[in-house]
Amino acid sequence: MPIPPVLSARDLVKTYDSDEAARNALDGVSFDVEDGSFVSIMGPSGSGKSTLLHLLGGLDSPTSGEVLLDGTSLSTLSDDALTLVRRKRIGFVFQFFNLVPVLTVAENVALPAVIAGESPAEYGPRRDEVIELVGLGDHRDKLPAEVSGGQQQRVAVARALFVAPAVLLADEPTGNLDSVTGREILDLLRTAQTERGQTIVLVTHDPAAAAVGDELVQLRDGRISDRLHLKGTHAARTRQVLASLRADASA
Amino acid sequence: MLTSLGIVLGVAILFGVLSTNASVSKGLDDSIRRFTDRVDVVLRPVGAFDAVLPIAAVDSTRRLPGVEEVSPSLYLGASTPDPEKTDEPAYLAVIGVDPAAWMPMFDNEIKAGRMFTSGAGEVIVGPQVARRLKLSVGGRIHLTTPRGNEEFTVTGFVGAREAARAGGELVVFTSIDTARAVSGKGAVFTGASVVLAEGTDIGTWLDAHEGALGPGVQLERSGTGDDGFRPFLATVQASLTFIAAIALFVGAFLIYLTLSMAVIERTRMYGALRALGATRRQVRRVVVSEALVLGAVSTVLGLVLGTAIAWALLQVVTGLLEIDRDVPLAISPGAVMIAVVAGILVTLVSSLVPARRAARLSPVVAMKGDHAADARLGRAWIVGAVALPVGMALGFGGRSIGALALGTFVILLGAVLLVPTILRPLARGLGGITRRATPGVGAVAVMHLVKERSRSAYTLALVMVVLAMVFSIGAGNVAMGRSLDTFADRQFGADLSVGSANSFSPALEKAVLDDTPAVVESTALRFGQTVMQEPSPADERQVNLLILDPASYFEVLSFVWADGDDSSARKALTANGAVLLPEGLARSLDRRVGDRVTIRTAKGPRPFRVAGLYSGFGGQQGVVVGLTDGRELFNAGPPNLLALDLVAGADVEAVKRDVERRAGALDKVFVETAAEGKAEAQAQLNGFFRVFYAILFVAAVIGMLGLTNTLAMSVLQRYREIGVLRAIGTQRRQIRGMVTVEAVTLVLVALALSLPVGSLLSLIFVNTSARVLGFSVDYVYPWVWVPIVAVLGVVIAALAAIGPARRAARLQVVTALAFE
Repeated sequence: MPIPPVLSARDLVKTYDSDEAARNALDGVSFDVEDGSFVSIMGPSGSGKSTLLHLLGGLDSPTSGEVLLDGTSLSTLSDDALTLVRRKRIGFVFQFFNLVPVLTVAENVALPAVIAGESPAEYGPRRDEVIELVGLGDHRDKLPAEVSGGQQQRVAVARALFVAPAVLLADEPTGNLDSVTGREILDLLRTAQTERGQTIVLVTHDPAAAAVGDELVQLRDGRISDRLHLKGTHAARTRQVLASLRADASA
Repeated sequence: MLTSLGIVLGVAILFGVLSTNASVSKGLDDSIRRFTDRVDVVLRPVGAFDAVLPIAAVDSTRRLPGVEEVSPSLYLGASTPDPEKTDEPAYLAVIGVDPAAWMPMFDNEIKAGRMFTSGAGEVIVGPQVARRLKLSVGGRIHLTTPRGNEEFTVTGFVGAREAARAGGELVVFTSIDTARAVSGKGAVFTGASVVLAEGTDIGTWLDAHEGALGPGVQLERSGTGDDGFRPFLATVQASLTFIAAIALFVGAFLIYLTLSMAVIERTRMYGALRALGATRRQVRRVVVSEALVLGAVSTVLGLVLGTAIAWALLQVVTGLLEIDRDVPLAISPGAVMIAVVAGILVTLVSSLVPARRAARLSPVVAMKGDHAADARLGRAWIVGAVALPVGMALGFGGRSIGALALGTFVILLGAVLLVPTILRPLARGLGGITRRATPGVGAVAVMHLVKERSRSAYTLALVMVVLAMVFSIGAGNVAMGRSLDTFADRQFGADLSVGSANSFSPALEKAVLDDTPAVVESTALRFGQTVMQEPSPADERQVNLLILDPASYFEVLSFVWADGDDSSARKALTANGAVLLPEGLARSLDRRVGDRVTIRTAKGPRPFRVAGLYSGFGGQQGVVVGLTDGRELFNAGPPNLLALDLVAGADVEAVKRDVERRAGALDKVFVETAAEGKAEAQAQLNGFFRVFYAILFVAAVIGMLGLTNTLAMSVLQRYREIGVLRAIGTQRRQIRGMVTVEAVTLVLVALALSLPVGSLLSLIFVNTSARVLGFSVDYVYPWVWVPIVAVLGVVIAALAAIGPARRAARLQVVTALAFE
């Protein structure tokens, strides 16, 4: 019996009412994310990749179609139930870090547990572990404004890993960082996948970033224009991504 | 929208109070002027109320140089069935006049019917009285006078300058002969009005002829009869103005907060303007001119609302002062100007700081919308630390309402400036409790409060000022109520008090005392007026006179002693030449027990030894003399009031009805039980405070709007953060809780600060009341107000949080995350 995918998109359509032409931001997108995989979603601006990520994470609801997380359709859940799913099963990393400025590094990391009403005794060890994992042991009591951009993004990654989510969704996590720091964040995500078996979905428009994944989903005008498995070294994968991009452009 | 509301309310209150004050003063002046009109000098007997002027005194006055006209009169009290009330008659004054002198002096004319015939049972009335008592020309009016019950014919209406009196007393006019006959007073007058020759200086004339008519007759400038009333009016007006100033202060706060918010909301636009080449000065000008337009529009709305407030306040204040309710609303250009200038100036000044802030931002930072919250701690706390003791010195040492008001203001200012410094530890401490209401995100809310303190601090200060004011005014009410009770117990604590406007005839006295078996003790009081020549002989100070019988008074009643006791007072008043003074009066004259004061008597100015000082309230207080002096020196006749103690266990209400029935058949009497007297005094006090509460209510609304504004601003500035919290699993309920926790924590801190500040203010208020208002009040800690203020605070917090909390909870996660 095959292992069911952890996350599935089924014929997702998203139409924005405000669009006079009622253009579909997503127009029938279906794909599966296998447990422990690293999927990169790539596409130009306006291709619908952020919309897709929002739907996958239960931040927004599709016009039609459904998202299945562990076999459960997110569209059937109430707002409160969906909120609990986000709290326990999904981790987010955003382009702009999105940390709470008045909380320290350690407090930001443990925020999901704090929201859930857990006591520090319960979540303390887990928190300390992920802080060490992202290499911020020396900065745990600093405020976000007191550490660098790359370190802030590490805090965000730690916060996402802290809940040990079924899937970690990263939305252009390197978009606001220089290339060296961006690379470090991608390595961190890669390590989380290889060493902790963390399922990751990465949205990016940067081919080099997309090449970190094992699988590429190419989006164009709200549809999947290409899907391929990436193999080999990072350089080899990057070439595969670029080839796919060229094929897509000439199509 | 909020800004506009702040200005509207602030301007409205200020304008409303100014207009009310002006209307009341003008109404009072008008009514006095109508009454006194051309009259320059009035003539009246020295001493007891029922003292009379011999006919000779009026004739002598006519012969004095410079006297043009003299109109003598004879006053008596009466009652008539009240068409509007069945259980109580209407009380009125019957004034006997000589038409030949009276009509021209007061510019009166007969509007309908004819003049009364001298000596006949006929009266004329003014149109107001006719309306009130439903009288018609040719109709009858039933009057109860000292002579008994009889019917009079209304022969005509007199207008339009009918003698209207402060106090709104109903008056009917009849001939001198008729008045003499029904009063039983014989060939006398009770007063006379005098018009001097054109160009005569009244002061000089009075100085020249003082004492010319004998020591028992007093000549005084017309219109001074309201001397005792004016200070009370001034107190009410000053209090109202002060509270209006506080309301404006609170309103200004709100305007500042909302303008700051408007600027933050539009920061990106200002950034774009700067990027497109606008100079800092141009950005500043944009902000300020927007504020000015807003200020102008809101001020106009404020004037409209203020007129409504003034109208409502006028009803309350005229009721409180028991003056004519028909006082028209006087909208003075001065009040309009002050309100307009205040409204626009406050807006302008409030916009300067946000305007500077908007202009100072670099275009890049502004367009990113990523402006840091102003968390710096300025040096303002030093000013606050200095202001607090200065305010306390002013408050505790002040000798006028002005000093008291200034002291209060400086204390509040000091407290406000100290708030940012105290906020962090207090918020952390109290937040430790409130954060539990919403586990997790509650902590985030408290952290925001602790770390972003500049804006929170001033909102908190706003709420604190409101709560402290409520607390201290409430405290004043409690303390004064308590003292009033003590005072009423001692000085008006007889089981029954029976009063009569015409002094008690022997028959009436017998009906009340001898024919009422339940009476075990009684004492007779007589009232009057005289003049103190203090602090120097050239000064003239009109004072009330209380003549008591020391042999019986202290068996039934007493005083609240500031310095003295019952037995020494009884001894002193039994001998001649001693007085008791109200504490406030003695203080203002700088006289103590044992000192001498000069008082004008029917036999000329005499020195009296001060034998005791007593505390009292308002206009009731007077100089107290014993009955022997009263008879010899102040024309004391029969009693005006009988205070009765009843046998233990007597049914006071039944005795009251019995006395009312038997005495009421003889003359107009008022019978009051101790409980009724107390309740009436309390009602009057509470009526006085109701005005303050009404204004405080508006201030509380302003405070709430300020809090709403700050919360809305917090939500707006944290859109993205709220989005993140929602994304990582915070429920809508928790977000609502987070905003509410922030509001409640803020208000709790404000409450914690308002209690000491409010206690301090109330202590100052009570401490200085003797010096400033003329009566002592013992300080009672107003525990009852602690929960009231706490509940008020929580209600303010809850109401203020509703809108922002819903807005925050409803945010779409994706939209919020995209918000920059």
